[in-house]
Amino acid sequence: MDYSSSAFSSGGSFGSGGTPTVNKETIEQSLKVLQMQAAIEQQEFLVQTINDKCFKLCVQSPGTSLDGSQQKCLAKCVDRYIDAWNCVSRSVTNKIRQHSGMMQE
Amino acid sequence: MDTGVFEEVAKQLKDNPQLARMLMEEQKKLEAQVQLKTIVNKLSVLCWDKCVDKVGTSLGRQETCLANCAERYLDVDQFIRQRMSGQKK
Repeated sequence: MDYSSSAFSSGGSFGSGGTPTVNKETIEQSLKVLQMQAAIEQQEFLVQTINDKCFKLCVQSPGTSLDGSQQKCLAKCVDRYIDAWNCVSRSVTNKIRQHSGMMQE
Repeated sequence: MDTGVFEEVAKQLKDNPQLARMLMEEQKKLEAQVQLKTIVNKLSVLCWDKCVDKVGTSLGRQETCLANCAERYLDVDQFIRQRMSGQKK
Protein backbone atom coordinates (compact mmCIF):
# COMPACT_ATOMS: atom_id res chain seq x y z
CA MET A 1 0.00 0.00 0.00
CA ASP A 2 1.61 3.21 -1.13
CA TYR A 3 0.00 6.23 0.43
CA SER A 4 2.77 8.70 -0.18
CA SER A 5 2.11 9.55 -3.82
CA SER A 6 -1.57 10.06 -3.12
CA ALA A 7 -0.53 12.38 -0.30
CA PHE A 8 1.30 14.57 -2.79
CA SER A 9 -1.79 14.42 -4.99
CA SER A 10 -4.11 15.70 -2.32
CA GLY A 11 -5.39 19.16 -3.09
CA GLY A 12 -3.61 21.02 -0.33
CA SER A 13 -0.10 20.10 -1.43
CA PHE A 14 -0.12 22.01 -4.66
CA GLY A 15 -0.11 25.49 -5.97
CA SER A 16 -2.75 26.29 -8.54
CA GLY A 17 -2.62 24.47 -11.87
CA GLY A 18 -2.13 21.04 -10.32
CA THR A 19 1.65 20.73 -10.76
CA PRO A 20 3.14 19.25 -7.63
CA THR A 21 5.53 21.50 -5.72
CA VAL A 22 8.02 19.67 -3.56
CA ASN A 23 9.27 21.80 -0.71
CA LYS A 24 9.55 21.62 3.04
CA GLU A 25 5.90 22.58 3.55
CA THR A 26 4.41 20.12 1.10
CA ILE A 27 6.62 17.35 2.47
CA GLU A 28 5.48 18.08 6.01
CA GLN A 29 1.89 18.15 4.85
CA SER A 30 2.26 14.81 3.14
CA LEU A 31 3.82 13.32 6.25
CA LYS A 32 0.86 14.56 8.29
CA VAL A 33 -1.47 12.74 5.91
CA LEU A 34 0.54 9.55 6.36
CA GLN A 35 0.50 9.96 10.12
CA MET A 36 -3.25 10.44 10.12
CA GLN A 37 -3.76 7.34 8.04
CA ALA A 38 -1.54 5.35 10.39
CA ALA A 39 -3.51 6.65 13.37
CA ILE A 40 -6.81 5.63 11.78
CA GLU A 41 -5.49 2.13 11.09
CA GLN A 42 -4.18 1.87 14.65
CA GLN A 43 -7.53 2.88 16.08
CA GLU A 44 -9.36 0.34 13.95
CA PHE A 45 -6.97 -2.41 15.00
CA LEU A 46 -7.50 -1.57 18.66
CA VAL A 47 -11.27 -1.56 18.31
CA GLN A 48 -11.24 -5.02 16.73
CA THR A 49 -8.80 -6.42 19.26
CA ILE A 50 -10.69 -5.04 22.25
CA ASN A 51 -13.93 -6.30 20.77
CA ASP A 52 -12.52 -9.82 20.55
CA LYS A 53 -10.90 -9.85 23.98
CA CYS A 54 -13.79 -8.27 25.83
CA PHE A 55 -16.44 -10.33 24.15
CA LYS A 56 -14.55 -13.40 25.22
CA LEU A 57 -14.18 -12.15 28.77
CA CYS A 58 -17.56 -10.60 29.39
CA VAL A 59 -20.10 -12.36 27.24
CA GLN A 60 -19.77 -15.96 28.12
CA SER A 61 -23.38 -16.91 27.58
CA PRO A 62 -24.88 -14.69 24.90
CA GLY A 63 -28.53 -13.88 25.57
CA THR A 64 -31.03 -11.87 23.60
CA SER A 65 -29.37 -8.61 24.62
CA LEU A 66 -26.39 -7.37 26.64
CA ASP A 67 -27.48 -7.28 30.27
CA GLY A 68 -26.32 -4.78 32.89
CA SER A 69 -23.50 -6.85 34.31
CA GLN A 70 -22.16 -7.63 30.86
CA GLN A 71 -22.17 -3.94 30.00
CA LYS A 72 -20.34 -3.09 33.23
CA CYS A 73 -17.78 -5.75 32.48
CA LEU A 74 -17.33 -4.47 28.94
CA ALA A 75 -16.79 -0.91 30.15
CA LYS A 76 -14.12 -2.05 32.60
CA CYS A 77 -12.58 -4.31 30.00
CA VAL A 78 -12.12 -1.52 27.47
CA ASP A 79 -10.45 0.68 30.06
CA ARG A 80 -8.23 -2.16 31.32
CA TYR A 81 -7.14 -3.13 27.83
CA ILE A 82 -6.06 0.42 27.14
CA ASP A 83 -4.21 0.42 30.48
CA ALA A 84 -2.56 -2.82 29.45
CA TRP A 85 -1.59 -1.39 26.08
CA ASN A 86 0.00 1.64 27.75
CA CYS A 87 1.83 -0.59 30.20
CA VAL A 88 3.24 -2.74 27.41
CA SER A 89 4.14 0.38 25.43
CA ARG A 90 6.13 1.79 28.36
CA SER A 91 7.95 -1.50 28.88
CA VAL A 92 8.86 -1.82 25.22
CA THR A 93 10.02 1.80 24.97
CA ASN A 94 12.17 1.48 28.08
CA LYS A 95 13.65 -1.78 26.86
CA ILE A 96 14.54 -0.28 23.50
CA ARG A 97 16.06 2.74 25.21
CA GLN A 98 18.18 0.49 27.44
CA HIS A 99 19.30 -1.58 24.51
CA SER A 100 20.27 1.36 22.33
CA GLY A 101 22.03 2.94 25.29
CA MET A 102 24.18 -0.18 25.57
CA MET A 103 24.90 -0.19 21.87
CA GLN A 104 26.26 3.34 21.98
CA GLU A 105 29.28 2.44 24.08
CA MET B 1 -2.20 5.81 -8.65
CA ASP B 2 -1.25 8.93 -10.59
CA THR B 3 2.14 8.15 -12.13
CA GLY B 4 2.46 11.69 -13.57
CA VAL B 5 2.48 13.17 -10.08
CA PHE B 6 4.91 10.54 -8.88
CA GLU B 7 7.36 11.22 -11.67
CA GLU B 8 7.20 14.97 -11.19
CA VAL B 9 7.83 14.58 -7.45
CA ALA B 10 10.72 12.19 -8.08
CA LYS B 11 12.25 14.65 -10.54
CA GLN B 12 12.11 17.52 -8.08
CA LEU B 13 13.60 15.40 -5.33
CA LYS B 14 16.45 14.41 -7.64
CA ASP B 15 17.23 18.07 -8.21
CA ASN B 16 17.15 18.80 -4.51
CA PRO B 17 19.15 16.27 -2.47
CA GLN B 18 18.68 18.15 0.80
CA LEU B 19 14.91 17.84 0.52
CA ALA B 20 15.26 14.23 -0.50
CA ARG B 21 17.32 13.59 2.61
CA MET B 22 14.76 15.31 4.80
CA LEU B 23 11.95 13.25 3.29
CA MET B 24 13.89 10.04 3.82
CA GLU B 25 14.66 10.89 7.45
CA GLU B 26 11.05 11.74 8.19
CA GLN B 27 9.84 8.57 6.45
CA LYS B 28 12.30 6.53 8.53
CA LYS B 29 10.96 8.16 11.70
CA LEU B 30 7.42 7.37 10.66
CA GLU B 31 8.33 3.78 9.86
CA ALA B 32 9.99 3.42 13.25
CA GLN B 33 6.83 4.69 14.92
CA VAL B 34 4.70 2.23 12.98
CA GLN B 35 7.09 -0.62 13.81
CA LEU B 36 6.92 0.26 17.48
CA LYS B 37 3.13 0.33 17.43
CA THR B 38 3.08 -3.03 15.65
CA ILE B 39 5.22 -4.64 18.36
CA VAL B 40 3.20 -3.08 21.15
CA ASN B 41 -0.03 -4.22 19.51
CA LYS B 42 1.24 -7.77 19.20
CA LEU B 43 2.64 -7.91 22.73
CA SER B 44 -0.49 -6.40 24.20
CA VAL B 45 -2.54 -9.23 22.76
CA LEU B 46 -0.06 -11.87 23.88
CA CYS B 47 0.39 -10.50 27.38
CA TRP B 48 -3.29 -9.75 27.91
CA ASP B 49 -3.99 -13.42 27.24
CA LYS B 50 -1.29 -14.43 29.69
CA CYS B 51 -2.01 -11.98 32.46
CA VAL B 52 -5.63 -10.92 32.48
CA ASP B 53 -8.29 -13.43 33.34
CA LYS B 54 -10.76 -10.92 34.80
CA VAL B 55 -11.18 -7.17 34.81
CA GLY B 56 -11.56 -4.86 37.79
CA THR B 57 -11.45 -1.14 38.35
CA SER B 58 -7.69 -1.08 37.81
CA LEU B 59 -4.95 -3.48 36.67
CA GLY B 60 -3.41 -4.04 40.09
CA ARG B 61 -1.01 -6.98 40.10
CA GLN B 62 -1.75 -7.66 36.45
CA GLU B 63 0.37 -4.62 35.61
CA THR B 64 3.52 -6.32 36.89
CA CYS B 65 2.68 -9.42 34.89
CA LEU B 66 2.14 -7.37 31.75
CA ALA B 67 5.41 -5.47 32.13
CA ASN B 68 7.36 -8.66 32.82
CA CYS B 69 5.68 -10.39 29.92
CA ALA B 70 6.65 -7.67 27.44
CA GLU B 71 10.24 -7.43 28.67
CA ARG B 72 10.78 -11.18 28.74
CA TYR B 73 9.39 -11.51 25.24
CA LEU B 74 11.98 -9.04 24.01
CA ASP B 75 14.68 -10.93 25.95
CA VAL B 76 13.58 -14.09 24.16
CA ASP B 77 13.79 -12.29 20.83
CA GLN B 78 17.36 -11.22 21.52
CA PHE B 79 18.28 -14.66 22.81
CA ILE B 80 16.98 -16.38 19.72
CA ARG B 81 18.72 -13.98 17.36
CA GLN B 82 22.04 -14.44 19.12
CA ARG B 83 21.73 -18.18 19.16
CA MET B 84 20.74 -18.39 15.55
CA SER B 85 23.50 -16.09 14.39
CA GLY B 86 25.98 -18.33 16.17
CA GLN B 87 24.62 -21.35 14.38
CA LYS B 88 24.61 -20.23 10.73
CA LYS B 89 25.59 -23.21 8.61
